[in-house]
Amino acid sequence: MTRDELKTKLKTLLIERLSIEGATPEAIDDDAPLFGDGGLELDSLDAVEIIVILQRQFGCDVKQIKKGSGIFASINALADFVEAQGKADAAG
Amino acid sequence: MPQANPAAESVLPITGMGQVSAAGTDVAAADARLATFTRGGLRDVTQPVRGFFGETATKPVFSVAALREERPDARLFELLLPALEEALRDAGLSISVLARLRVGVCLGTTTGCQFNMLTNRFEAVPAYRRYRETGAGDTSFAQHYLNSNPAEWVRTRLQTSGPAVCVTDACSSGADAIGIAAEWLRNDVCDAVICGGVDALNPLPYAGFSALGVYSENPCKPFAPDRDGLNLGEGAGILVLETERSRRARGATSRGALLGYGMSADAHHLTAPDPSGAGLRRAIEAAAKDAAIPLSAVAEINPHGTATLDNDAVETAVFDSLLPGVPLCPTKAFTGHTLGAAGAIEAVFGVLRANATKGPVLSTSLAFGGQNTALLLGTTDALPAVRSPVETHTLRVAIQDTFPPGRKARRADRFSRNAVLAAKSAFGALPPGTLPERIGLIVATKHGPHASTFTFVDELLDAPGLPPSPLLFSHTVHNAAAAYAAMETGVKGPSCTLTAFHGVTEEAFRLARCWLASDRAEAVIVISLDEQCAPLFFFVPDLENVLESSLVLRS
Repeated sequence: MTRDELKTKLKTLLIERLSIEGATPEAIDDDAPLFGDGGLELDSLDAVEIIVILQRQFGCDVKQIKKGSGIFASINALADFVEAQGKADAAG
Repeated sequence: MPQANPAAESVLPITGMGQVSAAGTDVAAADARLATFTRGGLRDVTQPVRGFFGETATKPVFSVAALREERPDARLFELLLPALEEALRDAGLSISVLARLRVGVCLGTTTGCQFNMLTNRFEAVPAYRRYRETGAGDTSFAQHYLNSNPAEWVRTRLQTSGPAVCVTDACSSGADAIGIAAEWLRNDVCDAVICGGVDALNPLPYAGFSALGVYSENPCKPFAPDRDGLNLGEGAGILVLETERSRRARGATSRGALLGYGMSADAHHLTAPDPSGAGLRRAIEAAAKDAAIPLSAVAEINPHGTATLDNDAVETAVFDSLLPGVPLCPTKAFTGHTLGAAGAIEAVFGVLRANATKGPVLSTSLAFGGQNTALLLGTTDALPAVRSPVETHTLRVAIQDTFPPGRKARRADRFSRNAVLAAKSAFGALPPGTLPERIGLIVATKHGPHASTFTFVDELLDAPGLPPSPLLFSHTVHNAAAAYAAMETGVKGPSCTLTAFHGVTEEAFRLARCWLASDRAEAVIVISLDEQCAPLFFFVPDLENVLESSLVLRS
């Protein structure tokens, strides 16, 4: 999976599983913040859902994710995390 | 139709208590264990066990090991029965005495009232798998679900004549059941109420709380700076709450008293408490007002104290500002978090502590969906006060499907979306200027949100090694719908979800009238809600779609 395909896959999963109404993968900026103002405005419950998505869909090991580790900063940061684990091709 | 409520008493004697938990299999055993309290601290807590659900579940749970599992398909009732029998014996309520009184039954639960084939420890799973593969199969295990409402089970067993409903408000269910019992007694619906809560250890909440990231790998440490989450427990707490008139007529002794209670909705978030603590503060203040005592009189606090970061932080902040210096006695390191039973087991502990300290004890419960409940328990010195009757009327509201879903409800499942539609319709019919804190909300359901529950169970069965969706788990609790309805309308008064197979809507209206008579609210939104989903319809074919919205007001 290329990096662009991975990012589209992540965006599609987020839109679907977090019920982000009216959003399309194209409309989500790769660097926009997922939490807080000015981006997708997700919250803590979405964060734990994303952690489970990383485990179920990509087989990621999430034990090392700590508060402030930055993986939730943006779609690019999430893609970095999946790639660093060598799981970009694991999307189920 | 206008309904008058006769005058009733305010302070209610507790004439019987029973409990089963990891702290002990009766009240005396738990009392001896809790005597290891030091002021503000704990020693000799219960050691939880690991591996309860097999190899994949390794985190600690507080099981009631002394009660052997004779019938794994009926664990809920194995826990409920000894607590019930203890409370009835304590209260001197034999079957013949029960038959002479108007006795209600109100119990909190989360694993009861749920068509969850994991409840019967996997025996039903093969039948459910066959249904999923072929669309057909043995439906006989549905009987287990149809018998799983603990309040209706008690009514059938004891042949009581009063109302019998379960309160399905997640972690505040047990405390809410006691508050509802108080309303029935004060409004002359009952002479005595068997109230409390029961829950059994179950893989569904175990997986759900784990996926939410709030389940500790270690024994839980309520209020410790290094706390990192909760452990689940199981048990039952039962109280016999009675009118003073009935107690005197029977010549029964009282173990203590319910001085007052308060309930509120955060209208903030599906799973997290409002970090400002405003809702919890309102519930505590309402309890003090109800009990007509100043908060400075409180001798001790039994906090909800689950040992999650968020819960204990909110409670600490609220107690520091409202009740500075009052000792905390958190008890979940003895029992684990027993979910729907927690508020009731801790009310029993609260009565024990009130007798020990000779002062009122505050017991708090915080639940999914931002529900807050405060009970004030004490000795029986207080004199009964008298309330004035009020008349009410009910306005049936036509539900409009034109409301935009609203930002906070984006994640809601269909069950909760329907609740939001119904709540918004009723909200639109409120008298202008009604304060959100003065509007109550009751959801009445036979079955609760089963589409999400089945999907969640499917995730557990299909990928046993992987965590299931925490979002789905949050929608398996019956009161998710009330939480979304509160968030989308902003109503912050008392809120609860009632579950029963028989007469649940009538009970919701009765409770709404009680709240108005007790001046807990100026208006109450009542939502009747049930949905069909394919698996439930297959196993329980007489399902109906129900969506109704009503507003109960003073006439």
